[in-house]
Amino acid sequence: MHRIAMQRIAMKTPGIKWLIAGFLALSLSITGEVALAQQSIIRGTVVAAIDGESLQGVNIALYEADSLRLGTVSGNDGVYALAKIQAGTYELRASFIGFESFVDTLVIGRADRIIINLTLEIEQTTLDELVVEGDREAGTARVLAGQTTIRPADIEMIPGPDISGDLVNYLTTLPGIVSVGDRGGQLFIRGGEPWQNLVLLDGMWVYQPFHILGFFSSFPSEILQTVDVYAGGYTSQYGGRISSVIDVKSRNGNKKHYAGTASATPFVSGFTFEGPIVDDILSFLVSYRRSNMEDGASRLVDDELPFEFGDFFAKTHAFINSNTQLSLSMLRTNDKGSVFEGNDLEEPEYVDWKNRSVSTRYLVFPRAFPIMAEFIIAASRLKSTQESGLGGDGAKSSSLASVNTNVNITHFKANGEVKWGLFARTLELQSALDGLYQGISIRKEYLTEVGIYLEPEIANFFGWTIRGGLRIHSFPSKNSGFLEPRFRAVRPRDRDEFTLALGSFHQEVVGLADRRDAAGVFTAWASSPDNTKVPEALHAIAGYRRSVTPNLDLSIEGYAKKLRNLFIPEWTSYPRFSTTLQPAEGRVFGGDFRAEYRKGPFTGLLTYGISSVRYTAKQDAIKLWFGEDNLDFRPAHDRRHQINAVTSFDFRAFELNMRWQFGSGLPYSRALGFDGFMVVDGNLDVFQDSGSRRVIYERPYNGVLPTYHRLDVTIEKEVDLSNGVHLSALAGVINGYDRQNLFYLDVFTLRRVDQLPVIPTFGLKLEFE
Amino acid sequence: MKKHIYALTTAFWFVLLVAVASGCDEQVDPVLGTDQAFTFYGFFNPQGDTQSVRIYPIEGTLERTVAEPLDATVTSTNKETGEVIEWRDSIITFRDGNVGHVFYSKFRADHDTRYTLEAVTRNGRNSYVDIRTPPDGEVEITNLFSARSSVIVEMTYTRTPKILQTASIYTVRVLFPDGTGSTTVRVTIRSSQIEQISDDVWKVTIMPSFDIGSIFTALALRPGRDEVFLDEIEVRAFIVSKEWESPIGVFDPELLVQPGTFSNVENGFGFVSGGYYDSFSFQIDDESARNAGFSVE
Repeated sequence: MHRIAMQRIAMKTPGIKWLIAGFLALSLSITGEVALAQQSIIRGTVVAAIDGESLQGVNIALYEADSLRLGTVSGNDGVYALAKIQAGTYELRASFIGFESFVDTLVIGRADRIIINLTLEIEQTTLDELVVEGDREAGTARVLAGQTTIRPADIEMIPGPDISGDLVNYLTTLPGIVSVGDRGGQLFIRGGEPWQNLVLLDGMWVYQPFHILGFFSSFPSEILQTVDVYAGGYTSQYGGRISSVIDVKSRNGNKKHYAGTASATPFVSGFTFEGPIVDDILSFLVSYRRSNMEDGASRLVDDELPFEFGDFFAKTHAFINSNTQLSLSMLRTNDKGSVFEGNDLEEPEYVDWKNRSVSTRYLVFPRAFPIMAEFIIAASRLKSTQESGLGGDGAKSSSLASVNTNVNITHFKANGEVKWGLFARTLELQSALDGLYQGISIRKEYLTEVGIYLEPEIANFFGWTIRGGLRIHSFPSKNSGFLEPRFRAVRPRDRDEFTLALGSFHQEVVGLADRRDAAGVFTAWASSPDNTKVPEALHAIAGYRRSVTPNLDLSIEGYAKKLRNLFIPEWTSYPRFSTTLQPAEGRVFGGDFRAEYRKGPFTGLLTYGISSVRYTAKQDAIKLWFGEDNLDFRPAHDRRHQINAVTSFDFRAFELNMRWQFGSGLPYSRALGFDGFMVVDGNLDVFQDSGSRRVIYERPYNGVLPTYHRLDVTIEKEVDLSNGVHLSALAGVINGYDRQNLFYLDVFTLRRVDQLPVIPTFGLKLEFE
Repeated sequence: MKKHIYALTTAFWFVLLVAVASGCDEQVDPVLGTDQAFTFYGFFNPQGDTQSVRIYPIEGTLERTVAEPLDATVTSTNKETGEVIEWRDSIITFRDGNVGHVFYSKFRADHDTRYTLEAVTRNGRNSYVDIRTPPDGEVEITNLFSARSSVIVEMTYTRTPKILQTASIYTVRVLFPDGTGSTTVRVTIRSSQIEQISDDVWKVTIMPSFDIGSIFTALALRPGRDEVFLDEIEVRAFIVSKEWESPIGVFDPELLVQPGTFSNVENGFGFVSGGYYDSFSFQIDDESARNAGFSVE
């Protein structure tokens, strides 16, 4: 009786039936695939001979009697596959700009499962240009329906206060990505809020990845292999978030010889160290950074900059054998500082947070099946606290811990591939909020998420490469589940490319934050409030890219998002943060324009983004206060116009980088004045009751803050000292014309906090290899 | 040559941008200002010898009120007689340390009379409110139901625009545990029902048989063991002008805090009306007292 009852309960959980059906369908599909797989397949990885790092974007083709039969491009981890090969004699050719081509003759039988790992030597004559021209699969203008691929070389050209680049400085050049300023660590992507972004590093979830000083993130460019940014419309492999995905893959470390860097600037100091543990087989990579604000940057501006941060990353990677890879990654970050400095009525607020993440990733080409299998187990934890006043009472804290298990399978086919996978996640959410947020005092909850996805790709369907997907995401602990259809399509035509993406997304774990203005930092993590639907988003993206000349790429992309079941703080005229939540809906419309020009020593980027974000608040009191059933408004992160212009110029061994950025003003709520409030009921005693101060607000978010713009310039020179040792020196200025950009406006006291003034920067970096 | 072109082009654009951008230093003014001058809270009491109203200036900054005279001349005008009285500012420091301005005047307001309260700054900005004090109502017991464990007293108030709230004050005698004497205690219970019967007619219902449980609890006595003797019941009703009504039916500060939501002040905010506390005392017979659970000698 008990077993039958359990089965019935399980079958009633939404999504479970779909999960079982989906799994059966996949099983049949795999079985069928095996049965039909009488043709051969070649798989493998491509690495660079100089350091053993995997190479993406390598062209690999199979020729028969000088006729091209099959071709592909190596992807993440340098993995490639050529499937459904008939028996015969072929020539395998691999080519990549800056590397010597690889050619080999193969005799392939029937149903052969061949593993060929390629090692490419650098083409000596173009050694110095490798980084600049090596890869055109990435680049600012190469956006595919919301997806931008970023390489370290792209980051290096963005001027910043650190002599080593950081991912966040490049991200903020992309249209549609809004940073509220140089502190806080919050990114808003195409109208979404920071808690709606999924950020992964080698499969680890990083819940608060951007440092308190906005120039830095958990991702220094020196550890990066590649970064895929999905500003929307992402594939079925990703889920649990409704706005965007930033999928960061780190390098594996040099498998040939030891190498490292040590750098110091007024903002941050750090080092990297990598090398082989077993030549060509096992390597390590370590990166460490720590801020120098108190002894460095604070003295340059003669102002207290109350920020401390640091990050540590470590990885080992191994080619266990010709068809198996294993890696272990670890990330630790810490941030501490004050974003809100207090006023007569409120104490200053100090925030700190720590990320701790670890992952294991196992990649295998099973010899028996024409697939690639990836297994990831990752554990992540974020602990955040906010205190009012120095050592004051009423500290609030929130922590989020998760264990994620993912299985991702790729079936290689002649005209595309089929991806599918399973995922399971357990989360522990804890909050001690002293009554904040719907009266939550102390709360601890456990959630489980499980699911499956299937995403077949069809290449060359009337000229389109179509990737349709379905993700089944179940939340057994909340007795809910969702079907999430996804769709992506690309049509390359000579110099043109059309792209399209659609998708449905849900998010069970929500972040609760003060959004009176967009500068709020502390986020409390909780499951979506009881008896409410989970936040949901629908995305639609359409884009066009054209290679006008071999050096000039232009792209334009339009997008729309529909947001449902959001939660935002209720409004109040009390001069304090209202922590009771109200439901809201949202919609986002926008467009990006990107132009990228590269020729010789010069690279220029110009991006422009326009967007409109509107929320509809549904607080019960709106009808009473404003005479309308709901209230439409622009939320605090709705930046209407964004422009970024970046140039990078190499001359006489100097590299000059310049960036000018512009953003239109953000909305905020203006006041008409200030008075007081008393409850005029039968208990009123004007001689005894103190009353409360009150803000007489205009209609919410009717005001617009000033525009934001800033010019950053750096010049860098690298000098070879001796065998494999280089010294780089950087000098530059951030906010070159000392623009007073507003960071935070305290509407109660009229006190404004500006972003950093003009601040010189300089640094030294020593590299050896 | 091409390198020079790139350098010049870059330099040109950035110089242009700098020239354009550096000239735009935008100030931000988050407080728009308003012509509205003051916010009032209070009521005219026709049965009090002193009238008082809390007054806040509507200011451009949110700062703590300081103990300095307010720039306001506050007067009340009896619209029936034309009498104008100037009020005085008493600067109050409350228990929480905040400072506030309570304007007062020593006079007894008339029942059922229109008044205008006005505050004017030195430069002529003003706010004012027109109110009407409630008439002097009458009350009588119109029904007494008495049965074992159920005693209900109904009172009817006439010439009463509105009753905002009531309180029942039970004067009881409690014997000392050693039986050597007794003490008289007044216990306030807020459990009566208020109902409007018709225009200017209200009914208040109290249930001594229900309230006695609260009395025992308040006095930490045990029913069945301890004896409580009922001396008298006093019903205090707060009788107010008709317009004194929350737009949402309850006085929820989170909803009413929004300026203008509950306001009758012209060129300002806040709420001022008229009201007084009516006290009606009566005794119930011994049998009713016994039925309600009280002890009877």
